[in-house]
Amino acid sequence: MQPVVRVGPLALQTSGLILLLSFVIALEVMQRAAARLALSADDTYNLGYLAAIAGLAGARLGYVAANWSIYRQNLTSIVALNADALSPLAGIVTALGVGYVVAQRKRLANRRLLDALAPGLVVFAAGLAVADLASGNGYGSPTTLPWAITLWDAPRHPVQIYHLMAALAIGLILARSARPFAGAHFGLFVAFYAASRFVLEPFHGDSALLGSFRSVQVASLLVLLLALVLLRVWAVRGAVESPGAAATNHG
Amino acid sequence: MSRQTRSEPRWLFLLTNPFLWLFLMVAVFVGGAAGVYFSGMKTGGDVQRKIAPQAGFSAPDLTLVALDGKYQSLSDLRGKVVLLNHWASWCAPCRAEMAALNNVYARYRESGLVVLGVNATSQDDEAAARAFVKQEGLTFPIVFDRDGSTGRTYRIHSLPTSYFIGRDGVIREVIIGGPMSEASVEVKIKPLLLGGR
Repeated sequence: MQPVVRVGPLALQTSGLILLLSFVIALEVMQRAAARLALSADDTYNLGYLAAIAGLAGARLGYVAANWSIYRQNLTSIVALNADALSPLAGIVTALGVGYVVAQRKRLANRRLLDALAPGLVVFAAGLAVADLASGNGYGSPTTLPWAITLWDAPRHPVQIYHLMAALAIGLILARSARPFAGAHFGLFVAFYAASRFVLEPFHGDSALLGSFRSVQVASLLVLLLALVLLRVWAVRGAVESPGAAATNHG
Repeated sequence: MSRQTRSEPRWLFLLTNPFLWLFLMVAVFVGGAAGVYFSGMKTGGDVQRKIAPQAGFSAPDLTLVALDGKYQSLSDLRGKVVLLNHWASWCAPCRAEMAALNNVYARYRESGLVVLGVNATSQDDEAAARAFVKQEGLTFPIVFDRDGSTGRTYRIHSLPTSYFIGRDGVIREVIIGGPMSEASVEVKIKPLLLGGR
């Protein structure tokens, strides 16, 4: 565990650095995938950045809106550089909304864009696991297994490493699979990632509960079912799509 | 990897068969629901009984000398919401957030909030720290970690680092770095004061 990296007088949070690096690499990977799928690589890259910036702004505004009774008395705090004062849900919704609008304007809004997104999501999922390993967050439950890691004064499942291995396995599956129909890679990523979160959640020591159930498992199951619905709809609709035929496929 | 070496996942087209797809959906739903039910039953509160400087664990106890020379223990504050702030007088973000901490403390101390400032004295000049407290008119309790043992226990890697601790002594959130704004501190404190834990 190495939560902080010192660079001269600066103390930088390792998890934040890893996530930032993951985002940059994910954008590069997404750009290359877009080029392979006959999408504008530059437009796809710019879309990623715009969605990320909008997501950050949306996350802060969502946080402020949720706590307006406090922020209205201290308006300068709205622009304070506090990385913890963010609403992840508002950020994701804003990023998706802005991403969709930009994709529409750039004529990128189709399932091939989602397929280009898939390898980038694999990179980010792997980065998330490494960031958790560095910060000690997302820790595992106590275990006596020989590969346990000692964290927070107890030998625990190295659940962050399990998640990293799951992300790498999903990446390998996508890399070795052709794309039989538009949206297949994105649908497979979502389905496999949801399944991995579902299977690995019982090894976590920090599960949030929804009643007496693990909330991540409930959410993962719903997302997995949704992914299967999407994959079926797209498989029924989609004939095998080649990059050359891409221009006529609005997927 | 080149396109030619990729295998086509033909099994995906099994999804176009409505009966197979329905079978898969039902199997995933039933298997998933059983998994959610049984793994949910295994969850317990064992993590919260353990002691570690991490959200979800009981806060490690500390007993340190305060400004007035008396000793202050964290365990004496059980039943109150505690904001444990590790700081040093030379640390610019620490200095920048002190006014916000002081304001929040003044506003909520009657509701059961204690801001406990732990000066990293082993890395600081105690006289300078005392002068800073006086100059800023800080009213919340300040203690001195003269041998650095509390900093080691809390695994402080950077200053400031703040721990938001509930009435039950369990750490709810850890903020590494700063300065925290007054509003963001208040947002974290209010649910703890209202929540009763």
